[in-house]
Amino acid sequence: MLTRMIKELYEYRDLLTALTYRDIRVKYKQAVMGIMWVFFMPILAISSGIVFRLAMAIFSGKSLELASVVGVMVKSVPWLLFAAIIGGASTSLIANIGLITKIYFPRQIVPVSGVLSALFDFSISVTGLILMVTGIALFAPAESPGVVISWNLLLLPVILFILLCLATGIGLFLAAANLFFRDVKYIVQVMLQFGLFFSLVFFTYTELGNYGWVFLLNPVAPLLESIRCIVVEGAIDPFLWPWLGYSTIAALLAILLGSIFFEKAEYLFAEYA
Amino acid sequence: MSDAVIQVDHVWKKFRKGEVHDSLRELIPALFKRMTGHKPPKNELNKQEFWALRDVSFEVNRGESLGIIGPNGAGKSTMFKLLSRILRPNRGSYQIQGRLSALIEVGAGFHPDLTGRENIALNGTILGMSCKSIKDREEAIIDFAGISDFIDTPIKRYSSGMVARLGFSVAAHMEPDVLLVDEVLSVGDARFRDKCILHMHKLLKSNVTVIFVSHILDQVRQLCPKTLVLDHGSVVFHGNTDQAITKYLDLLAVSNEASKESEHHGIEIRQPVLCNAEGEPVLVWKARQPSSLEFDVVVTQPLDDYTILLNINTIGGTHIGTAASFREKFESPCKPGTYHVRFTLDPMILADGEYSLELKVNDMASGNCLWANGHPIVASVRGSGIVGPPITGDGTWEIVPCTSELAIATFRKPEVAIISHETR
Repeated sequence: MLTRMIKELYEYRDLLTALTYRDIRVKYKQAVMGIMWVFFMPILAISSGIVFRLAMAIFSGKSLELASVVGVMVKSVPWLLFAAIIGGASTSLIANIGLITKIYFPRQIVPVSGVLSALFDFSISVTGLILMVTGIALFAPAESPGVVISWNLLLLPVILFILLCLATGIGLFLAAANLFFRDVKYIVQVMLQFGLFFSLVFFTYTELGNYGWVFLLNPVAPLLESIRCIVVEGAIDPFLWPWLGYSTIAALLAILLGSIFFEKAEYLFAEYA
Repeated sequence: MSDAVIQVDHVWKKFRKGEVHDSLRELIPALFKRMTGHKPPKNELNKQEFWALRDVSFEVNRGESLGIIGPNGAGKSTMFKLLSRILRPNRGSYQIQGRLSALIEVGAGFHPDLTGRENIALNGTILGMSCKSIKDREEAIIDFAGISDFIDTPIKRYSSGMVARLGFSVAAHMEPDVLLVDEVLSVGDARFRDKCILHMHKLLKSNVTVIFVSHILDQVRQLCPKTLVLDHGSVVFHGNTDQAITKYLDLLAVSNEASKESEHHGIEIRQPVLCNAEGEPVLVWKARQPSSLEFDVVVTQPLDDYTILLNINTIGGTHIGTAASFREKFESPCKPGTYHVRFTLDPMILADGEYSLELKVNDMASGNCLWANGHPIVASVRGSGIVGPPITGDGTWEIVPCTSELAIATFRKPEVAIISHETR
């Protein structure tokens, strides 16, 4: 099932490219704000994270550590990728309803092109992020290095890939669900807003007391926490390893079940459009 | 081994009528209601299904072109969507060999913010052309559409005609093995339309198999030697195009007779029939020859003065003319009874094509409609030698009395004031 969907994506790669190109081009053609938006979103997220950490620091009487700022920076960008994929995929089928009712092509191309254009935005933000983090690594005072360079940095692409699978699987499911039930997208919007807090973007599970680990039940959280650990501490906290395994399984299930559901429902799309 | 490129095998397709829950906000309470044993109120969840296609089978050989015609709701677009794999049949199967391109709408996927050139690439890819072939044909496409001056402006600045021409031009340069066309040959001005028809002819010569769904019978006649007629989901005819068109018009005529007339206010017109000069009922209206429309007028209540209107439209809906009985000094029978009325049409110069004749009765004082025929008569005009917009014509009105006649009067144009009695 999954291999067939991937094969179809390859067969129709021209169409996939054309749709992704269209999405990206239209987004950036529109206004000066268009290209700025790619930087604006992460800056907004990071700034609000910093404000949050600052507030926590003031309340707890401790000073604001560079490590916590870097932690927030490094978690918000992947979170934005996740949110963009989920939000984009869930409305993608309806947004392209004109094509779906009139032309034949394997329907997974539509949400996948949303994923690709979210990845494009991500690549721009992440480049900026890498520059900033490198800058911090180079110029940070020795007593509180915000960043630790280690071989574990090579694990980052792997973790991002797992996050991508998780997002795509959920996105496929939501895309189909939204086509049949048009109010799914509102539920998704609300959940993404709360998700920001429940995915440990602004704080770590260690800061949440004895029951902090409950937040790790959200499969996105262990992934984001691992990213933070690698960049800020140089290694993944052993406590997190099983949770990472849990997230990986969740991602696998998401992509398998999501694509099966999508595939089964696909032939009904044009009728329920 | 047959040369059949398209094979449709006993295909059935059904759809749901009525409200289908399309949001969780509606579904969840409905589910709860059902679980707790409530019966849903009448207007909820009307899950009535109906068959849009019933047991449809046909074959098309390589290089042939098949027309598909039928009254509205016959299942033509459903068949089209099935063949282009947008829908799946409930029963039966079909096979298409070779690369398929389906034209259901010109400009599918066009985005207003992108330029014409960018949209060509997008649209071409959507229609199934490879990037390379689009690049190769870009110049030809721009040329065919005739918008080379504007090719680099966003298409939101284009007129709708330009968009349509661009869309058709991209589609015209596909090189499929099998082409499905659904009513897209009506875009653009007359010159562009001719270009399109020429292009279709070229395609046909090059051994492309074509299925052409249309309402424009003239185009079907030009492009398809064989035609399939669908009615209420079933195939009622498959063969020679002229015979198919006759069958199609028969279907429309049958629906005329079986039509439910709207409520009548004391007057009804029954059984309108088009007759030739000899008084015989015909379906084909011979151009340049006198003909008449005969019908019964049944008056059930005493009425004030009214007028009978005859609207002549082309089958495409263009209004040609109206004859009104009050203008011809026709004395509308106002006392209850049955009158047989003949409206004689002097030879009219009508172009070849299909026309619809619609009768209406309006009250003279208030202008309210007293009676209207829901299903007009459809008649074909043949033999005029004219292609293009139609008409001129005069008419005369007569009452031809039947059993309960009261008054017999013949009203002609003032220059020819002959009164004649005719009995039936």
